[in-house]
Amino acid sequence: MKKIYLIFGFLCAFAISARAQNLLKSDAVLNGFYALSMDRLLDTISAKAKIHIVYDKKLLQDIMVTDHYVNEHVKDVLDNICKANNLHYWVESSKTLYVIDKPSDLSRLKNMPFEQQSVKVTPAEPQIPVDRKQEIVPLSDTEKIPVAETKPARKNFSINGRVIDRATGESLPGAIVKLEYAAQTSITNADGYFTILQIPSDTCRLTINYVGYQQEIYPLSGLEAKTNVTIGLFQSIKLLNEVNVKGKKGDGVMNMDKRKISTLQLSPARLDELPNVGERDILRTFQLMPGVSGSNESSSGAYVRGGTPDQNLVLFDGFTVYQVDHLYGFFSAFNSNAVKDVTMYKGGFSPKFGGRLSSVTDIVGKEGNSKELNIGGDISLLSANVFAEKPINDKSTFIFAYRRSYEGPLYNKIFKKFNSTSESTTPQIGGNGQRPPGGGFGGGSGPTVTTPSSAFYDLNAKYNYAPDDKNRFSWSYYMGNDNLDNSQVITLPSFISGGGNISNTDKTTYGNIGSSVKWSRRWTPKLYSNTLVSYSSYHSDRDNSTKINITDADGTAREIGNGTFEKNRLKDLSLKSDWELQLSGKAKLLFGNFASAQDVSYEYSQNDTSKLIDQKTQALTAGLYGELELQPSDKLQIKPGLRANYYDQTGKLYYEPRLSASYLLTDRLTLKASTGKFYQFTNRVIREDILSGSRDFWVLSNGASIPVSSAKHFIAGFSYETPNFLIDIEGYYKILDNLSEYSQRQTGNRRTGIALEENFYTGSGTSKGVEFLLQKTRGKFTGWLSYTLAKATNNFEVYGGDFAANQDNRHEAKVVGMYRLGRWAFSATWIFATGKPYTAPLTSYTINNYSGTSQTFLTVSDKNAERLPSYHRLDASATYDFIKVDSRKVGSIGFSLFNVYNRTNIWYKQYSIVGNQVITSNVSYLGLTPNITLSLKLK
Amino acid sequence: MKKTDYIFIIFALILLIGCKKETEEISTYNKPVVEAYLIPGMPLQVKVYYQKYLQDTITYGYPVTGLKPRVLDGSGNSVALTETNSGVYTYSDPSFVKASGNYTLNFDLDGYQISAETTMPDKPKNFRVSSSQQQIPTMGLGSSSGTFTPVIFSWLNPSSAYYMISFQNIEAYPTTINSRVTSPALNVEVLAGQTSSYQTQQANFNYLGLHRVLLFHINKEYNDALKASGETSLSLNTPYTNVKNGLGIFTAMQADTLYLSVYR
Repeated sequence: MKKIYLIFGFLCAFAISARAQNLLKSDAVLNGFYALSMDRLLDTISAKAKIHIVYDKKLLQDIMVTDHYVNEHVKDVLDNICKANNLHYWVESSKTLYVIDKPSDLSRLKNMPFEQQSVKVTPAEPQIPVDRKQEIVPLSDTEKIPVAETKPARKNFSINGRVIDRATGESLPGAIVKLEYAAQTSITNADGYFTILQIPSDTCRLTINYVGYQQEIYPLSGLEAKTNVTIGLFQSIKLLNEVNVKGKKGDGVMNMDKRKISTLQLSPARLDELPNVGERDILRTFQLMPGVSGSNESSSGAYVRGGTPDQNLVLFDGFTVYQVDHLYGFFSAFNSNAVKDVTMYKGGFSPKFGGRLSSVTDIVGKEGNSKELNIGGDISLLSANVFAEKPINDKSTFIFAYRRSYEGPLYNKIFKKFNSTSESTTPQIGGNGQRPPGGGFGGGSGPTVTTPSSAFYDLNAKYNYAPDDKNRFSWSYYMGNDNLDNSQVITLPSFISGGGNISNTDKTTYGNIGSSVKWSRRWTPKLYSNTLVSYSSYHSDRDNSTKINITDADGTAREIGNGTFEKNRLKDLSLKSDWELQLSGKAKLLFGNFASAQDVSYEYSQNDTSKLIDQKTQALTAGLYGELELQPSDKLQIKPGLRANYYDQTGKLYYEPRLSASYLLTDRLTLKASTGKFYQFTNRVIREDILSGSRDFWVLSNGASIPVSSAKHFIAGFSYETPNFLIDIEGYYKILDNLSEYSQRQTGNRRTGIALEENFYTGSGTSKGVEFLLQKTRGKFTGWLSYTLAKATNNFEVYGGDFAANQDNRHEAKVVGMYRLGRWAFSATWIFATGKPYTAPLTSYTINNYSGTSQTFLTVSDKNAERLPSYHRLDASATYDFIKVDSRKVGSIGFSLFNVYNRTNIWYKQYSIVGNQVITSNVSYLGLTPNITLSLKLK
Repeated sequence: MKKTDYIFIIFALILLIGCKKETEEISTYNKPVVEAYLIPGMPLQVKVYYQKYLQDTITYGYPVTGLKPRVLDGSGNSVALTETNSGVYTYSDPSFVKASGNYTLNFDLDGYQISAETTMPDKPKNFRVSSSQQQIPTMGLGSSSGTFTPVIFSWLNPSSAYYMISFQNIEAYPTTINSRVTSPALNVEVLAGQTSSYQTQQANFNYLGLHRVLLFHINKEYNDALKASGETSLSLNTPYTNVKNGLGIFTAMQADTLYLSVYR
């Protein structure tokens, strides 16, 4: 034990001498003559420099400090008084400082109950003050240090401000700014701006809450006539014991605002503490919440409240992303290192969003560190990930992130899930399609088989430019690509026809490129606008072909080829402008317009020459919206709105009225409800047979065979909040109309030639459910219990009326627990879901076609009449912060186990006819899969 | 009781009986499987099978014997088919199936009436081929000849009707193209879809020698009933049938013929 103390002591001493001096960053200075106890002085420094100073009051209250400072930096003051009294200080973060006598004090201070710790109180004034205005030196141009005063200097005024991350300067959108003991609340907009009107007196304080950050209390006094403030928040410090401060917002990985209905907010900063399969996954994390199905391993897309992933609008920095996942759906396409904030609206969303039936996932990319260069990266068994962020000058920042998979064991495991079975069903060249490649060439040295590499990668880049207080420009770029290659090249030994090769191409490439340029402007403190031009392009290609190159004895090379080729392109050029006008303290108007031109093409060709399908559609969608945020009383909040769309393919106008409201029944109990109508013009087609061809592609509604689908949402619920817990219950009912099912069936095979058939089916559906959430929001142990009781029914005439929708799950329960112990963070998630419905074969029969070839068919049960066994899975992870000199860790290693008890969850059933018998085999999801992630960053 | 009450009771009874009749649908397990292709100038043959259990290893289902099927043509002639083999019912007069008209099959099984209806499509028009010879390149070992050059068959299809092509080797002693495959099928059938031309592929031919190439103008029902069904629970669909209370296919088709010599 002594040894450990020694080592620890040595480490601390080393760290103190090596690191502490570097980390204390404050330009605050002291001026004037001070004669006071050391604890009072530290409190003063704490208030002036905005540093949280932790010390043992008993130790320091007897030490007197008497000195005269003239523009003395607080760092120098600290250095001097510590040196004079044989003390040390230890900077835990750039804004938390411990004053210690010996190294072991550090852990004692950290574990000390909050009440006994020193906290900043009213700072002492110098006995002989110098000019007070000079004394307060700003941290930066915009950050002002508020100093508490007692007499109100101003009454009935308004305040504008911006909420940022104090360490990186990133703006924080969606932070809740509340005037203490009053009704006024504002939520920061996309650039972190807020406005609060009619503040009764400057003795009031603002409390600012944001997911994953410490709560900030901001006194409004001493601001002089300034009404423009910048408030910096600190990231939650995990090492410190959590202390319960009344009214403090939880700092969990997932948060809910009790006044917003059906809204989930995720903090990517805390994402690494949850178990993962290979990658920290922002979209998968939502699958742990009620109402978002968690049993679809093969889809990172969100099945929200009985909806399908294509009914979920995914926006990244304002542009629509059409391909949201990598590697057949196992990983979401967004790099968590480049993401600042993700909000999911599960239904009844604002008229600001449209074009989808079910939900909205709004992802905001990081702006880049505006204070200092930061470089970091992760490496896991699946991929490697690097990012760099840097202030270019005092007005602009840049961030870049790149992620690429490599063919490690994890990648191959998932890749094979999709490709091992297809090998046997892909007809091979030579013979009758029964022979696997490589077989039958017999004798001597066999043919050599080589398979090319396949990978996915994505890239994010963002440049921000804020020329002045009022304007902000940003350019964001995203590119994600999957190159899934299951091709094989079989090199023939030279004794066969002088050598040559058979290349069997089976290549799927898909991805999305998107870019947006945004201009935000604060016209007046009450009027704010956000204008965005964006481009998004989706591509999906599939090449399934065979080429035979043979060099014969006389050296003549020949090439024989055939196969099928698919090509889907979607281009989307959009323009939108969103405006916010604060009408009064009780009313805010949101309005804007949008226009988007989409161009979709789909080609299916055979042998490069004959095009079986060649579709091209162009559509223009344009419209405007308006929403009023009213707060007629302290308790009631009501938001009526309307969105109007014009869709040129049908030439019709579509009106979408929306309404949401919340009512604070008591301090803890909030009632909420929302309703609305939603239209969708773009549909994603899912191929019936996942093993053939690209799995999905996008088509546009044309008003005829693919009608414009619509939905009505009715949502009501309540939330009950205690200091440590949040209970949220919501019920929903959705009516869906004009749902399209487009199926494409290939008839024949490569041997006899392929014909393609397109079927368009139209139907309707309903989806209803109740969601329960019990969340523990604070403490060492956080997490939640969630349960969803739901039913999703579709009605398609072609399938004989009502049937359970493919995504129907009656019960779904999720348990998420996260526990912190020192530098360790443990977490476990458990998911249980009723099995998905499926259609089963009942009997078989065989008939001959006209030419005498027998064909066997399966008669099937009613559509989706059977259920797969229940799905359940436990994931666990442990993260250790091995380098941690800051409140943010700079080095951590995470161990993750997916499907801990190796449950065989069935994905789908495969039927094959072997010797006239129908053999059913289960294709299952991933079994026990371990992963290790190593993360490092400079800051 | 008032008069209206009686009327109400009678009305309710009619409704009840009516409802009962409608729900009297044959269960999926009991549906017989029908296979019949009506070609002008050919004797009419209808095969009827039982379905198979999923575990069954037999190729075809057991034949359904002892039926009394009748076929009615569009002009009111109804003929009775006779069972010439177990489950095979024939009407041997080749003049019964004509180049046009409707045909309806009817028979009773376990108290249920099974029926199917089809219309004879027109004979294909302007069926042509780009060459009367199809060369097959030598594969693999040793010397070579050229690449596979497809022969193009074309026909008129202004109404986007469905077509099927059957390549039939008519040599007395045919030579297989690929010696590694033992006794491949003599006939190869291709569902050409709603096109008006077809390019041959090497895989269309298993044997060398003279081939009869039949271009059938088919009904959509043939195309739908014989296309492959899905293989996984994600893609399973009820196979199409035009047989009421049954499964399988009862369809008429009409062909035009060309000949193609396949050589190496």
